[in-house]
Amino acid sequence: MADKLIIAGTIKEALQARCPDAVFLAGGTEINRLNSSVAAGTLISLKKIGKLHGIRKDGDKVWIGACTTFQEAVESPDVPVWFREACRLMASRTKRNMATVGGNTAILRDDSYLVPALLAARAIVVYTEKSGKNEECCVCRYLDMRKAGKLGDALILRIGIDPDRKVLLKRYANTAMSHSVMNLAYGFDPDGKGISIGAALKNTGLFKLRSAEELIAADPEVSEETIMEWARKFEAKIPTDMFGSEEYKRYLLGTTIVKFIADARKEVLA
Amino acid sequence: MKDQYRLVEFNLNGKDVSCMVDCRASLTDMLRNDYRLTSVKKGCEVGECGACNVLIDGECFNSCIYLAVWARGKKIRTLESLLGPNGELSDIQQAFVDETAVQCGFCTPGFVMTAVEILESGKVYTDDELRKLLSGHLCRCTGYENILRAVKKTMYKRNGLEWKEDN
Repeated sequence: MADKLIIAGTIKEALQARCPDAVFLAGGTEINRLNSSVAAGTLISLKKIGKLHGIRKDGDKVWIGACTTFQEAVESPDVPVWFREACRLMASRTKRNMATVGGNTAILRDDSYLVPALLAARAIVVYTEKSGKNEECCVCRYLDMRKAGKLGDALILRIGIDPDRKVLLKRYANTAMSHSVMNLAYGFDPDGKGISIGAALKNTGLFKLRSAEELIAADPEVSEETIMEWARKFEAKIPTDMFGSEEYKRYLLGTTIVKFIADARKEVLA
Repeated sequence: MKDQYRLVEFNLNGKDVSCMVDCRASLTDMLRNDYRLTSVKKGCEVGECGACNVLIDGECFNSCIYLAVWARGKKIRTLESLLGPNGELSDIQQAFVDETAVQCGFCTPGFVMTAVEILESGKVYTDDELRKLLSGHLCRCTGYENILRAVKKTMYKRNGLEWKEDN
């Protein structure tokens, strides 16, 4: 458990306070909970940093501050419907009042509410490291870098999303309040192209399903059998556990993508 | 460790108060241990059950995962603030009694505080909306229907709508 709390008033203060045993604390729904997955000696609270809050439209993007809460996003008319739906996947409104967009992205939980949707949306992450220089990359690149052990010190400043992009969501869980077993998102441009699929698979990890995207891009009329075969062979190590057998999870993965493809076609035609 | 304790000044149930707290303490711990406000229940401590729910600046929060030091300058309301000067129950508390929305009672203060936020919005919600608004709480006894009825009945009453048993 942390024994030191630093309440940063500015981004600069937060970055300067960063040390090897410190972590950034946004809403606290993960770090402050019992048996948190995050262990740290020092917490750097970001709540008071005004620049990390707020939602604004700028050009062709909607920018969502890292400390924007899920509930603020749900209530914002500037945020696309799919993003609000992704926030609503966290069923508890009391938790949505605390959980932040940046926190949920940075924590990279394998039952993440937002990351699959952000991957599907090809969202942009703007972050800064100790140097104070702002960098930006797509969520996919951010995920790859974090998996490679890079960017551990980075502070997410805001997330940029394209309001015109379409994103379909599907979450599997025992109840609305339970953590998800599988959280999938399927993104595409209004013309049906530019497909991107994000997945959060419990006890497996977060993925951008590039091989499935390539299959669909190569053949927009791809058959159900081909997708189901892809799901059976999907390279991730999916365990049989209390949430279901490996076979069942692969079946769900395949059928959900098949359904996404059909629903996306309908939406493009409409 | 010199920074481990902080003075937190805030408004609690209408009174300005200050308290020296461990920076690691949750709001639940501060309210229960320092102010003996035991309506704030310690349930799951992971922000799932809603038993520790309090209103912070008019919005409901799980106080178990909210740091006590974050309360600085905020207006905190717990169930105790709803009672009248002689301990009279408020309309929403009475509705919980009338509708048998209470069995073991552990989840009740959290539900009631969320109901307060709903009722104070002055809006009339559908059943589906009410279910979603109350979804941050777990009750293992009642099956939720009576709780929903208690909130709905009070919402109708406050908005001057006629309550019928088949509503």
